[in-house]
Amino acid sequence: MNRRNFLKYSTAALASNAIMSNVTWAADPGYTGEFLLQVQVFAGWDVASFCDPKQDADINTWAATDTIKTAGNIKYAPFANNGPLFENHHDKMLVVNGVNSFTNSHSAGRLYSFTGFNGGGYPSLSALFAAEKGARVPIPVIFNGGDFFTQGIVAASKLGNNATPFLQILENEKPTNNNKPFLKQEQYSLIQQFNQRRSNNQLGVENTLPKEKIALADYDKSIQPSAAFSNFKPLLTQVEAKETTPHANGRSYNYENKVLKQAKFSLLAFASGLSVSADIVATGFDSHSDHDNKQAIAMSDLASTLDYIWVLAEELGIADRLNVYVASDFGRTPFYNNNLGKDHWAVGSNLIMKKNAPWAGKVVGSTDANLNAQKVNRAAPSTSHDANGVMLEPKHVMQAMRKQLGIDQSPVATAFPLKIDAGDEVDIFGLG
Amino acid sequence: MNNFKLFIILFFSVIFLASCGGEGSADNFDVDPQPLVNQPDTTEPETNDPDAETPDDNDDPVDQTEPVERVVVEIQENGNVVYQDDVTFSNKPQGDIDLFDPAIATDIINNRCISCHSSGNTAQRTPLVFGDSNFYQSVFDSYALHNGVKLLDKVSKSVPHNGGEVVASDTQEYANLEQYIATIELVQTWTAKAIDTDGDGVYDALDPDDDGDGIKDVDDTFPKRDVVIEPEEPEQPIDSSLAKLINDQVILAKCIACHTTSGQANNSGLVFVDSNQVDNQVTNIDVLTTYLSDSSKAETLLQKVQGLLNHTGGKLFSPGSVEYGYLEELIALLELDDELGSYPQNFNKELKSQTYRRASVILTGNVPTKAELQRQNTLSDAEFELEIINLMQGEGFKQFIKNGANDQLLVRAINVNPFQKVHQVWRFWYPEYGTMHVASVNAGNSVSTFRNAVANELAEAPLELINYVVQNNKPYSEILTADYTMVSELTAQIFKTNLSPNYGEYVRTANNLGQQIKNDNNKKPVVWDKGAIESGSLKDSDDIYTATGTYVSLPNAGVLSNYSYLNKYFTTATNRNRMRSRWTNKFFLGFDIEKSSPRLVDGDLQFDYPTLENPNCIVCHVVMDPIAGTFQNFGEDGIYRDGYNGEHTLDEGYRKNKEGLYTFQSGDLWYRDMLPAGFGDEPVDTPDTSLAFLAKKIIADDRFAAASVQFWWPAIFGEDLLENDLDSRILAQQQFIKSVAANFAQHQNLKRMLAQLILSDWFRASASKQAVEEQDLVIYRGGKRLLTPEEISAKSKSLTGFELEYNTTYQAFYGGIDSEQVTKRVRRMSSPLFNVAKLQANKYSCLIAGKDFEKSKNNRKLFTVVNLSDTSESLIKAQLVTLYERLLGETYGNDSAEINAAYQLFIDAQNSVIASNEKNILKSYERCESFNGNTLTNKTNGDPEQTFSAWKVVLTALLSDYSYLYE
Repeated sequence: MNRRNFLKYSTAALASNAIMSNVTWAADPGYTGEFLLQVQVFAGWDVASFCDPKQDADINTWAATDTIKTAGNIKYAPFANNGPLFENHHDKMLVVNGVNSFTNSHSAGRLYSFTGFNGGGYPSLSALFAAEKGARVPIPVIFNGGDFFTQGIVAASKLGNNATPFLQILENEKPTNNNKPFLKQEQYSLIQQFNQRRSNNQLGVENTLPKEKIALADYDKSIQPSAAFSNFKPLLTQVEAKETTPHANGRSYNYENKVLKQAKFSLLAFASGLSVSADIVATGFDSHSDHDNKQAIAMSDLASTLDYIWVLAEELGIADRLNVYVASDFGRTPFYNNNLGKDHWAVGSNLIMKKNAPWAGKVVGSTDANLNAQKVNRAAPSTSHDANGVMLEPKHVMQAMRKQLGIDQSPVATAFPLKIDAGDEVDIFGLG
Repeated sequence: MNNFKLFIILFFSVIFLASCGGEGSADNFDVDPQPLVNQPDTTEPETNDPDAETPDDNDDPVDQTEPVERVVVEIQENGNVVYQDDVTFSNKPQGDIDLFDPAIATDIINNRCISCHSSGNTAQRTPLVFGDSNFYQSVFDSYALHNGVKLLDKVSKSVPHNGGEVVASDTQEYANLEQYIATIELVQTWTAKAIDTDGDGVYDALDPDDDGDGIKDVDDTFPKRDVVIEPEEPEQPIDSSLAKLINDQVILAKCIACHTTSGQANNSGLVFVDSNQVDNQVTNIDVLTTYLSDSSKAETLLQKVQGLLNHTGGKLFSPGSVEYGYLEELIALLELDDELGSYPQNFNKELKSQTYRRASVILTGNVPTKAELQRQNTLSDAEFELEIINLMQGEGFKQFIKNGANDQLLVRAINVNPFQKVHQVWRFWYPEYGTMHVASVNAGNSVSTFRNAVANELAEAPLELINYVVQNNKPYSEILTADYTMVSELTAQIFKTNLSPNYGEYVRTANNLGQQIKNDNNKKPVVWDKGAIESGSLKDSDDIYTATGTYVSLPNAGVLSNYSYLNKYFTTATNRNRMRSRWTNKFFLGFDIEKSSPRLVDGDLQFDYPTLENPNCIVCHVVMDPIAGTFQNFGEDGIYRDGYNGEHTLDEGYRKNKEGLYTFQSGDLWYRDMLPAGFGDEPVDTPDTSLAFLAKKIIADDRFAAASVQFWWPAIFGEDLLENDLDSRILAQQQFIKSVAANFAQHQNLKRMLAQLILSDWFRASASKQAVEEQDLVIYRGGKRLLTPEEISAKSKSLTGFELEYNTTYQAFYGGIDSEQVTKRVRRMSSPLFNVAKLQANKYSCLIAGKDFEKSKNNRKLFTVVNLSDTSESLIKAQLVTLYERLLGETYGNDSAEINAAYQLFIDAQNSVIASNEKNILKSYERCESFNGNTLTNKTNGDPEQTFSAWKVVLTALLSDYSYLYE
């Protein structure tokens, strides 16, 4: 976290809340690396109404009354609440269109989009990143349901969208609503020493089976006191205090929205030193009937949340270190069914966001007029069709993401090799 | 001979032998077998190696066909035949009949074994099944020839025997058995048809002049009757069909991409040639069968094609797919499967007492007493197995069953939004529902009370059904075939059952008569008048529900027809029950359609009916859609025949569409533009009860048993089956699953299956042996695992009297599921989880210790050694030893380093408060939290030596210890 911003918040917190006297301000979790926020657009978004727009009313009804918009180099659909997101953050975006997941089943699509392998047994990108980067933080990766896979490589934790029980867990030595502790502080120290002694003894036992070794190591890590715990509440207090008034940027946010709350808690966990990776879930996209209304509601919440993520990240001073990966099961059909709905379509898009990234502000990959995926050049992918190229699949995007995040050569990543033939990698980020 | 030729011969040998089990076999012979004097030369049989290991009880039943040698009919130059009849030579096991009958035949087999080991009885699928008493010896000898020791172990119950001890090892009968078995050896026999052409009393097989014309057969120019000489089988095709299918659809379609001399897999041992080579089929099948000549490779092949064992080529086929079936067929023909692999025994196992404690906590939530634990170490393996099975009863086990089942089925998802999932549906279809809802509101309950309670009953109903089947030792298959459902207080009334179970009690009923279907119109059958009060606490109190439809009797099919199952896996006009099919396939057949094949959308638009016409679609839909069709009687939410006039569930868009090849016809229950409702290519024969049809098909499918083992694996082990690990580990685990499934297929008793899992190395391994490298450990796990919120809650209640908040307020933070948004448990400890545990320990150690000390010593759960006034070091240490045993399952001596360390904690904790000189139970400096109305009452001078705080600290430390949180 940016030290200045952290102090700004913490000073205010100290001044406004007497409970803060217990906060360990010397907290420095020591993690100075990147963060990853993975956004599951659950159940299949309609990218033709988002980042792969088609000027065809048979595909999307908005095309009958409006035209495709452009922000920077990126085209977007004039649908739902897309405008503020694209207009304010296009410079952080890499849109990957024409990604073929080769499935129309939800879980298979999610499996492929978030692990890069449709055979199962692979971890989500957020878990993989946490396993590599989050060894020193108390909650390496936060999850919120959906389809999230750890494959046992990292311990995940759920924060949800209700802070009250989470705060009580963090402040477990006394009730959150009472100053009288359960035990004396000195006794807590004795217990901590006792637990640690026992843990050390157990870790020292020879011939422990592999599975239990992991369990013992998990336990040992979990009992370590972390100063980061005490950072969370004052940050939350400060952030939520600002929610009572309209945001300075003039845009309004629904702070009660579940996915926005998940995003907020995730960013606060990053900023407070609790976590390095999170997986949040945006719902409401399974629009087999009444497609336009359902997608409009869900898409608005998603776009607003993505906008808010960057606004809050700036305020918390972590925007420079934040990576956002947005994907869905797949896309939706380029036509409406009898119930004015859209069914599953294997071709969809990814949205990858990062501030000041040299690869941001553009689109790679494309679809034809009927939303069929087109091949891209492997070495220099663009929006042009390359008959000799390769059809983008989630595995290509995942491979590129691993590389961009700097974890592709890590032991934990190489233990889960993506099934891409040599020479078929696609340099989505232009990293060479 | 190349392997391909061998394969061909083997293939035909199998067919040939199978055809030999008829009238020419020994059991059909009605002539006293006698040895032939002039035995013709015969070909050495290529199958049925007499030295081959006979499968034990864990394997499939033995094929009782004896080794046979067919006589080649010898044609003389004169065209006559020497032996014109089927004459079969056999090697038959046979013992001394005088020792067998009656001592064994009557006294043992007839009086004791036959009640189980006979057709239609419990051991009918073991390798030892007796039929007619005339053949007791034959059956016995066939089995005992290679399994004599095992047989003796079984009858004396030295190894597990479901029939218990039949013959005690110290009896004369046992000695008789031993003596007889020692006499069993292979003797040569022959069999022939009982044909006597000339009626001279000498059967043709022995008659030198069959037709009695005075001319010996060898010289007789007039054959007595036509002799059909089977032509020599051509080498090609072996069933060209299977070889061609494997070559075309597996090897050339998939494997060839890597498995060529120039491909990535050129060092894999499987290098094929492409279709440009003329003899590619012969070559490729030869390569494949050569590879499979190492029988251990059969399982490897099947794992690899599933994408397991780090197959670089990823997933190609899934179990249940057509292509996978070809490979299984090939392996079966080569007789390579069903061999239980072995693995290094380079690990130690825990004591029975340790296993028992862990099993008890997991299965029942209870921590056994010290005496119960100690007794386990004195038991034989068979007795111990029985002890484990005996744990499986009562309320705790019921919760295990229900939680374990819900972890898979997720039917409790209906509790997440009862308003949408129940209230907004049921009040329009079940007349009693609306009426009872209004009555509930008028009785002062909130508007959500009734619907939440109904939702809960519906959620629990399929789980209760499974529990009912299991606890009553019914065949596990009844979870699908049950012609009843479970109801409780409210659903019994809503279903109009005339039953009156109490709150929380579930009873079975065949009658769900509470739903109405539409009656001569297309409106929902129950009409709602919302009344005048539309807000506030009395909202809904003057609502009026009027039934206008027709009551129906809903068909039952175990879990499948339960509303919470149907509603969790809802359908839509375009999904058309495919989600229901997908999950039913996965839960009960172990087949994950979604992982079975990629979807290729290119060209989708070229087909009007892709799922019927596009090969890329058909590959999955041929499996998925017929089963989807069997759910045809249940609509989107799970309501029975919610379509027009109550005639079907078909959506209006389809029903009114008059274009295309397939359009709705009156009387249809299922879509004509999909494959017909059924199971595979077998259509439903009972359309009104098509789920019952599906249930019967599933339980008859070989995959049901293995799917059931997979279903329950996580409940015992706290983890899914391995997907990505060392090949050796995955293989061993898969083979173990197969062996458990083979047993389970026979007995269908879930308790016994669970016991087998618990008694396995995967549960009981405790540590590696000295100097064993980690990668050499096939058994990578065993010992403790993190308890779930439900399990740690039950364990806490067992030990302390309080279940605490693991499974309520902090359930989600402790890795629990809500079955809707969070459907996978967190199985590893992390900082937030530990902090939940720490919070529980910090918060409630005061109440737990205080309430315990309030009781007399004999009635306490934990502090059974000391009172608060006790300060003697020896007493305190003795108490610490007891606390370690109860809470952590660890045993130490009073003066051990561990107890000394704990004693030091006690002393330090006491010293930290001694200066306060507060001798009342409740202290001014700390908070003593209440739980569920249990509050610690103060007692003046109740803590005269100020030890209470120290005991709280000890308790807090132990309640947050690894050994408490893991079991």
